[in-house]
Amino acid sequence: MKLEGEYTLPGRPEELFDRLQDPDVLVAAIPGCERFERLGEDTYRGVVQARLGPVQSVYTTTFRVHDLDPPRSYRLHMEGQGPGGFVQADVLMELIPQDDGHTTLRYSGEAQVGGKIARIGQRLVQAGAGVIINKGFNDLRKRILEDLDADGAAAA
Amino acid sequence: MPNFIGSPVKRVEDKRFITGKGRYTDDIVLPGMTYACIVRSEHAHARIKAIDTSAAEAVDGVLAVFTGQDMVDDGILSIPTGWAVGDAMKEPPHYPLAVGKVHHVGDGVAVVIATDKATAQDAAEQVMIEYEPLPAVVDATAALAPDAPIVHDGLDSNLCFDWELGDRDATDRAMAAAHHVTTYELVNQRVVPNAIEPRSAIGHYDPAREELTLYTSSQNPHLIRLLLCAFVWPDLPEHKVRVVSPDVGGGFGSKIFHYPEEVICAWASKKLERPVKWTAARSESFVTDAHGRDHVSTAELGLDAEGNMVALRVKTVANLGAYLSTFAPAVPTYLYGTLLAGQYRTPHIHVNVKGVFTNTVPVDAYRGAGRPEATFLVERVVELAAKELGMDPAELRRKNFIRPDEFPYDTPVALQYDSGNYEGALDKALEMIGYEDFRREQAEARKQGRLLGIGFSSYIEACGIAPSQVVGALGARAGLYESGGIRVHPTGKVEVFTGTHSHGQGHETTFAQIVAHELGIPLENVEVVHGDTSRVPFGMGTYGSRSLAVGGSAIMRALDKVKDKARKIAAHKLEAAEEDVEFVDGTFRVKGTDRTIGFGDVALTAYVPHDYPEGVEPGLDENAFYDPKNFTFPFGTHICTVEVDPDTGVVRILRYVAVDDVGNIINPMIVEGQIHGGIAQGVGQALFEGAVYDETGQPLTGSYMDYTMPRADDLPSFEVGHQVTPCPHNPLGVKGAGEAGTIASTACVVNAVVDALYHRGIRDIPMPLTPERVWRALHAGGDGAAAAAAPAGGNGQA
Repeated sequence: MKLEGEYTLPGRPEELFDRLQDPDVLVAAIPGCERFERLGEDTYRGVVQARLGPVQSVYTTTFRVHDLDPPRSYRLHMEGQGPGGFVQADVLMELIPQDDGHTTLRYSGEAQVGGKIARIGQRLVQAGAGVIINKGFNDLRKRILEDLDADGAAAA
Repeated sequence: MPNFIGSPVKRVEDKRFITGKGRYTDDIVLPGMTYACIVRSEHAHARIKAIDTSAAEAVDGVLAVFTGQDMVDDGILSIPTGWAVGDAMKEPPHYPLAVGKVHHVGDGVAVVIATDKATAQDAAEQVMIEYEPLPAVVDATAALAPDAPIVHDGLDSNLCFDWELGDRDATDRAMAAAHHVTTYELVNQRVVPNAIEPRSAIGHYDPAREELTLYTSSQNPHLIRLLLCAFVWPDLPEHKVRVVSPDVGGGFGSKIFHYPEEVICAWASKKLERPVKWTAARSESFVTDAHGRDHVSTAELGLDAEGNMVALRVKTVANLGAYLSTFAPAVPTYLYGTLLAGQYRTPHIHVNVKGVFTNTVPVDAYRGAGRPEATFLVERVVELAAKELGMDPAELRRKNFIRPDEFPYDTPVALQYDSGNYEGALDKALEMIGYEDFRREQAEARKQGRLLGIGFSSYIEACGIAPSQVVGALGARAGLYESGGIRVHPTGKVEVFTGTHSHGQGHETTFAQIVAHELGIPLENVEVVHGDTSRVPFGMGTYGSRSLAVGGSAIMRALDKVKDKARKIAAHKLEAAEEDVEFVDGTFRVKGTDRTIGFGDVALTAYVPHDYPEGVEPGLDENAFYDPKNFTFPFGTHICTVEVDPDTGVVRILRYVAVDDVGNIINPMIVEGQIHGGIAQGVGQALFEGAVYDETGQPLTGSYMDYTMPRADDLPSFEVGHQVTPCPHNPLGVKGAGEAGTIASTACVVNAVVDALYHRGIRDIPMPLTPERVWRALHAGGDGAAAAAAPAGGNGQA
């Protein structure tokens, strides 16, 4: 399954790049994430409750951030495993500066799903993934706005 | 006394079925019952690095969690296949639960047993399995590539067997000399069997008696017991095991085989000393019931200038899935290659079949088992040849039919057809459909832009696979005879014991009709017993449309013994010589007199032998085993008409005519029902069904949201005609009717659709002929073949 899209976030790439690696920010961008812990330098583990089509399940998910090229791009590797099946994704995240001080976050990559999700919810996966990603970006945007506000307040 | 043979008696079993009172395996509840849930692989191919069962074991209500290694350590061996195709056939182990590696999505890895089903299911989610995913191969042709991932450790390729039949050189020479050669490349796609009752098993071990009862939704309980005790669990003594297959809700082949869950429930029950039940969820059925078909083939049919078929050359790659299921090696070989002569006099035929392992659900017999694949190939390539030669498809068939005076006919692919009248069935079907009128209607419709088509399928099948000596020489690891028993009770009531099994076929009615007819007693005085190894003599179960031809013949033999003995008793009572006593309508009579004794009085005498003939044992209870001389050869011609909507690609079947010759008919209503169901199932493959995997081995059609079954409104009312050419070598003159519909109808429908579209440059559309595929073929600028090109393998639908 192809994953592709873009989303506009407030702030310049330089302001966003580190934030996007921040576990506190990352967790906000993962809908249904219940526990989140750092395993190593670039590796995190979370327990994510997700619903894809008719399959609702809890996934133990590891995230790894790699190939960092600040502030332009990084890759996010994700592996989720649970009774509902497994999800693997490797996504290139590109931060493209906009004239108005905003940043377009473009993501592109491949995801593989297996198990019950593939078997039963396969044709709902793409749409389901879209909903989850959108919610993730909305939450991320909110979180970054709060951060930027807080930064602004601190600076003032 | 009514004549029960040939009478449309209502099925006696339907009272319990249609009132919801059937007793299926899952309906059985035993004291202390526990419930198994099997943890299944989500990976098509992966090494099992670790299994952590601790969290599952800690769940309240969980009694045990077992892995494949636990079973192997306790003496459980691999599940064997029942047929060897050549000495070089590869037979990798198939453990009831995976050991070391999983080989397909759905492969069992562990079993959780709990006091209730929900707890078992919840705890199964707590079994943590660490996998190392490996590259998977799904497509059989791709699996033969030198760099393909190897499914089984210890093998150097995925080739299971490389089999051929027929004279290769003679076929090549005849092909080279042919005036015209029609070439057809086809995919006979993988289908899921979808019996309405999901598979179920209960193991019930009694530690005090050291006896095991296994209840299972099986088509052949004796074979399951034999495989279990002789091969899989050698420590289990056969005489201490009872296998019961109670009411079974449909099989279509998928319930012939010895499945892992039967072993798991039996073994776990002994470990826990409690009954263990497992019933498949529908989503489990999709990834564990043996699938059907999945061939990729090339057929070349050579014809001379007059349209006589001179040679047929076939190359097939058959996907066997991850493991060899019970009959798997026989289906694409002895049940397929041998049928490639069809109804035709083609003198030279050669077939090569490569059986291949892939990371998919095992493939085995599915209604028709090899014969639908053979019929599809033959009838499609014959249809294409007619089109290419500009001949009428009915006339090309007629010209090449084996003629009635040529029987017995030895085909170039090892069978001897014993009887037939192919032209008779074709003519009757042509008359029923009104062939000339339809061709005129078709031409008129075409002028208005409407797409009508007519399709033929003149099929032959081989039923009641036999005799044992021959199939043994061909690699069968079992005999193919059948048992029958007649137990006359003192009151004259009769129990009939058959080693066949009824899971929708209506044996309780058909067999009772035979016995009531032969003994001249009311139908309600006859009870048919089947599906219990403790009650029925060793039998081979039901598949391959064998029950009546083989099992019914065994019952006839047992009836002969009963009648012979009863005649002795009657003669004694009537004080007459045995040869002077005749048995008519349930009464023994001294010929030419009014001195009679009824069958009931004879039965009572047999059990109260106060006044009894010298040297005759008391009782009236006889068994027989029947090993047929040959297969039986049902045949027929099906013709259907279709209309294709050029705007949407939707195919609508307008009429469907079936003329079948299944030999003598005991119950025409049951036969017609079998034909109806069979046609629907074959239409399902032609238009709707297909099991699809993605390239990593994930099944994408794992539920009825994505796997399309035919529904009532997809089908017309079938018009069924019969022709009767009795089988010359069994006592009933019957041949078998369970699979005919499925064998014929798939090719029939596809031929009709291609007939509708051929003038638009379309010579083939790969099955299933979904509206999308038909529409794409129609909108590909005339190059239909390219647009509708078959996917590389047997699995493409998406």
